[in-house]
Amino acid sequence: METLGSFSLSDLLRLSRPVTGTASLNPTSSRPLKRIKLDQNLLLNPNPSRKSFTPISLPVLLVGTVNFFSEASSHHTGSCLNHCLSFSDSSATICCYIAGFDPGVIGQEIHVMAWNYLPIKQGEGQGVLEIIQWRFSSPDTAPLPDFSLSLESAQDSGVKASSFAFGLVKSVSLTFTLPIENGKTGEMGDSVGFLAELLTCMCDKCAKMRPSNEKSGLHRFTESKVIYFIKPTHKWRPVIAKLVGKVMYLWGLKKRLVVVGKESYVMLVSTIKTKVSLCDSVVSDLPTDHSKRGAYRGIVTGIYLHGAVIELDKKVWLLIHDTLLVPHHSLRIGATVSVRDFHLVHANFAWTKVIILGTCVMTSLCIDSFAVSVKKVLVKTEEKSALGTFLESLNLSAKFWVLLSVSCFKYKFRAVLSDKELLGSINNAGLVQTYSSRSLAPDVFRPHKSMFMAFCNHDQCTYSSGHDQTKCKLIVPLSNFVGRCEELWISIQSEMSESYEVHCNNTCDGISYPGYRRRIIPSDDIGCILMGNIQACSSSGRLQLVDATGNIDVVIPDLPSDLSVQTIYEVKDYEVVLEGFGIEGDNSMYEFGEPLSSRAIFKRQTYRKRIHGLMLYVQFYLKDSVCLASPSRVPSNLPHSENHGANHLLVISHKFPLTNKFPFSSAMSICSSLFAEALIFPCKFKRSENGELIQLGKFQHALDFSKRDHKKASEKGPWLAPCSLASRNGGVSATTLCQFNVDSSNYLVAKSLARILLEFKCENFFSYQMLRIGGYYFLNCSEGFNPTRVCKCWEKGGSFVVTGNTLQSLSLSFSDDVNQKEPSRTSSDELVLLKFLSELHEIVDLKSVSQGITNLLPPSQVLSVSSCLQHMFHQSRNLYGSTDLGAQRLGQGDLISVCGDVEYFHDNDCDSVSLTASKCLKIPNPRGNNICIHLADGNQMVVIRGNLSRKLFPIGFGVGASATFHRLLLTCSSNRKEKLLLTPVTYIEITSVRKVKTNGVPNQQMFKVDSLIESLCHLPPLGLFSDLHNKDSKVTRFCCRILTLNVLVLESCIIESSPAYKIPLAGFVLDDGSALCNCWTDNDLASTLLSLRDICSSFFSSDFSSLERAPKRLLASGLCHCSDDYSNYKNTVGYYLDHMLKKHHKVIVKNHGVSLDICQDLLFHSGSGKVFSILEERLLNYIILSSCHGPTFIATGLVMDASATKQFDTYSSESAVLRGCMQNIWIREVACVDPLKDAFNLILDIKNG
Amino acid sequence: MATGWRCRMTHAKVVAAELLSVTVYPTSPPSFSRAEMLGIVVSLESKPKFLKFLLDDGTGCVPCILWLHPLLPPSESDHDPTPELLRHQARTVRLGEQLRVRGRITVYRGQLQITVRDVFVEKDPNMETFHRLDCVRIAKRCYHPS
Repeated sequence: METLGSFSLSDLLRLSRPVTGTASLNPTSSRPLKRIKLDQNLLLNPNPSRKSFTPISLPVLLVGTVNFFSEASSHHTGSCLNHCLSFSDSSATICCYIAGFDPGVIGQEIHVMAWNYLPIKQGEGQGVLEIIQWRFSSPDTAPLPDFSLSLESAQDSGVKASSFAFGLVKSVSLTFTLPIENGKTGEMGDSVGFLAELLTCMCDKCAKMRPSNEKSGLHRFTESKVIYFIKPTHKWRPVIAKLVGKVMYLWGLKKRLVVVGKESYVMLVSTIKTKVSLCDSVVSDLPTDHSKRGAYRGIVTGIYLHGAVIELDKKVWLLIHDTLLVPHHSLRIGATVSVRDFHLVHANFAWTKVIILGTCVMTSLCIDSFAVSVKKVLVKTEEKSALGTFLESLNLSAKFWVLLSVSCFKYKFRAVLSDKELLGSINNAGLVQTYSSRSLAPDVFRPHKSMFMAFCNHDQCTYSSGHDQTKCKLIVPLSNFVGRCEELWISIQSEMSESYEVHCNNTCDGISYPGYRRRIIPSDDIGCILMGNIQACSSSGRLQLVDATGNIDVVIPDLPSDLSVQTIYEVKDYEVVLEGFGIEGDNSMYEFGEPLSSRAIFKRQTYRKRIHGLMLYVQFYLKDSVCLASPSRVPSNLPHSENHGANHLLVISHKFPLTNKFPFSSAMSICSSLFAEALIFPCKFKRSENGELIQLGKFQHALDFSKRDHKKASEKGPWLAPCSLASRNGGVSATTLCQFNVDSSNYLVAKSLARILLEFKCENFFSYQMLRIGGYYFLNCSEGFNPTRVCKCWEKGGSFVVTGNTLQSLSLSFSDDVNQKEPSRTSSDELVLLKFLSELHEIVDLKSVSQGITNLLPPSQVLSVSSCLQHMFHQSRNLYGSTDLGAQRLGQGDLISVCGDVEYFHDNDCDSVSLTASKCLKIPNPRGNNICIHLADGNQMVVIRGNLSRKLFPIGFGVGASATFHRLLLTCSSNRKEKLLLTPVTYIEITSVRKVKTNGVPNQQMFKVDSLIESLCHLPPLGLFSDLHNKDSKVTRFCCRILTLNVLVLESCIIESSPAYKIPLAGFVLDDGSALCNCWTDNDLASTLLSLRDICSSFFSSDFSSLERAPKRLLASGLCHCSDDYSNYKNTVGYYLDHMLKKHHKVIVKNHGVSLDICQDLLFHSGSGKVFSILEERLLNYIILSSCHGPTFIATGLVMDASATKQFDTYSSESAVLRGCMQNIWIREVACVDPLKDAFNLILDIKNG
Repeated sequence: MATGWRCRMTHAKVVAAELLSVTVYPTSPPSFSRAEMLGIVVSLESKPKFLKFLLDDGTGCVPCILWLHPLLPPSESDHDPTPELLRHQARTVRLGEQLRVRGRITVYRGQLQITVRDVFVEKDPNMETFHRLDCVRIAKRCYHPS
């Protein structure tokens, strides 16, 4: 018969490697044992990777005794005390954990048939034995007595302990230490122990400690009783914890008052005489009302944050309140665990939904089967830090979010912030805690309870179960964010390809081009918060939001000039822009693995941008973001004073775009340097040493000269003029060195304005991005301050390499008084030049100084599209000559700047209607494509053509972008048609990006009628004239038309004004379909109702033959004195009224007719007593008739009472009453009908009955 | 049209179907004598003295007649531009045009028609929906109050 190998534990410890062994697949088979010595040769694979257990080549078993750890044992940890038993043979003792635990094993010698051994600490002879299968070493001996636990040595002591308990074990706490006072000596000490809750039966037999064993149904375990196992019985915890759900007897207990803090509890406490035994004959399930806290068994698929979060079955998250709850040695990925008594929470976060199993003091956790993997996850049991205390104060979903945030923060800022800064220390809160406590709603915090208190009063547990709606957003690592955006793009592609083909309805010169897709997703739809530094990419020069995981391009319309690269910004409110043409091929080839899943965050999975052709960026306003961590700022570093160097004042005239020097490859930079052009002012600034103005004498000298003779003063050379600079941190005095002449118009003009080139190396691309065209900056000059020598910087064609802090922005102000104005900008680094040249006040006034400086600057006006078209129209074609770019001749023309919205852009060499989007992208042209950009402004549009590679597009450029094109070439083609061309120096500045409307894709918003109606609810409903008599006197809106006129009073203005007439009163009869109403108004509103400001084109139209004579007649009658100025106002009816009223001063028109259809009974009264000419009557008739044939409008008015209308009695006639107008209203506002908006309003009105 | 509401001077806002359903009895005057409707010109007949057109609003076609005043010699018509204005309005009536018309309800050879007072060209197609809803609103609150 084959023998079984057996070796000592010391052999195992010596081997010090993960080993697994088994005796036989049949546990009952009995074979003779043979003592062997375990060494490397017996291993199946002597040099394995240490990722799994190495099997032993022979059938082997271990023989030893399972017991509790003795108190003297030094090497067991807190976790061992709670979960582990000892396994010992004659050679050694080690930790053991038994799957399928039987309490009878305690104190017995067993044969371990299948086991794993895992060393805990290398070289220290410690390890854990995972017992998978075992048997008693002597199965043939007499049956073992029933399980019982007792401290044999102390049974005969004189301790009185007469209390007992019988019941169902419901839950067992972890061991804990409680400060306790010795009743005899009064000394303070620590008491180690644990609590067990028993559900006891209240029947008479149980009360007399004679529980009936026959029928379990006779017992009702309902009454909760807490037993406090104190030292030395505390070591029973590993066994008692495994008896949850079983019925047991306890003898030798003592009823005591336990005082914990300010609370006291009467409970049964163990003594040295305590004895525990199982009552296997009584079986009962735990009450169902407790099962709602649940039991779950699953496979560990992830252990994160030192055991604080455990993922089970890749779907639920176990939140561990105390890491002692888990058996440290055996908790490995792949193990099967059972959890009992947890709180189940369905947390709905802004970006995902998570199922959380939250543990508490009542929860028990045990390993059902061991993991094959040996890879241990470090489960830490540390002293409670400030963050730990903070976590304890949160409800489960908030706690999960904070733990995710911990992972995200560590992942994102590991390079710039230490763990201590992020997580804090025992006493101090770190960034995560500060941020979380600020972000979390107050209702997520729960009152703190000690473990003792929580266990004894668990019915009032502050953890809740159920569904939890939380608005918490994910502080997303940028790499995961990019992954999520790409995932979204793929889903958008699929959705679009299902709904419609690439639409080809964009046309240019009659040719259709494929559609360009842009999707803008608001931050609320993604449910993430962005956080990072804003930097310029050293390879592309683009502005990016950066963290340790990745980066994303950004568009920031309100980018300040003093942005620091070290500041961490929190961006909550943003828009993600995804744009590009359709993806060719199968979308299913892209697998992203849920980048925003909790698993990906805890696991710190990295994502790289994979989809080519997708432009992905984020746009947000910096004013909406929060600065989280900011470096200390030193605003007074400029003007640079350390070396007493000088500073030039310059204005940025142009920024040169990225250049296309190198062949494109992802590994290579697009450019090595970026350039900007600046105009340098002929003055230098120098800070005085002690803050005083220096060299004032010379200045006075110059001033004296200047008073006498400007020319002489200028000949004297440079002036030294004191000026004051102010920054947030107080005033800085400086001296200017100015070279100015005074021209004949007494304006201060510079002798010359030098143009220099600023070069930015890749490490300073950020400074380039911060530059604003037209902005003022100080430039550190290396030459120092020498009033007598002209600086080289002014030499034409000079260039300057910009380094770290060479440039500082400032805003110019010509205020004379430093104290008058605070530094206007909020940025602390920005200096405000408050008193620049103000001391020259005596020579020329400040206005002329500012005028002088303005005159120095070249015209840098940015044209709108309309102005650009006007400009193109007015430019003489002869100026440009004939330019034929096709023949490679140099283009000639003006460089202009235009701003507008990009309506559409496409490759210019696409010439087929059937062209698909992919064709345009298939063959990348490194030199760039001929591109055609449609720039619009309202209804006007210009087309810009040129050569521009997609790689060089600024971020945000595309359909829907608002952009400014600096230095476009306005030229004309061979057919003498004006055109706008992109040049290599054209700089495109993106100010904002909006969503692109895609034709053919139904806009879901359109179907949300109800919400649209709700949004219009604020509009007051339309009223009816027929309801006026029922109404209170309040402002009402009416939809009506003019039927006829009651009265009109016109007066000429005494003061010269335009128009030169006023309307003190106008009364109309309005009709809204329900009734007629007298409506009164004056001046502007009357003028609107009478359309006096409208151009009366029909009145003068050539086919309106008889009326055509009117202006001529008016001219002949002297009503119009200048026939040349027929434009705008002069074509309005009001213009003719002006002239008529010069003659009559006041005109009153009354309608005495009863008929509503014709205005035949109008009576005209002249204030001057003069007779109206036929044309004048005709003009008045025309005005009134036109208004009576006008459109429907919305009038807002107030009902007038009888006393108010009495004042109009002199004007109103009986005819009005005859017409049925009983009510009077005073019109306060007149507006055109907005058919859509008002129609929705009507729907609401009808809906509400 | 309900009999409760009587305001003969007002132009009732109606749709064609409602207008055409009115029965006129010589002995009892109708509850309304003037109407305002909005529709598309689907037929046009131009004569020196009048312009006759059919206005279709989707619920029916209403015949409309616009009388053109005779053009008087310049000396007599100088003070009153009404004839010119009417002729100008007549020129805006084109096939396919969306018009808002107001006028008296008359009967010609047993058929209802609108004798047009004024014509206004509505350029915005949404006006049709707005007018239809306005008709419903006024009918519910004024013509047929429940």
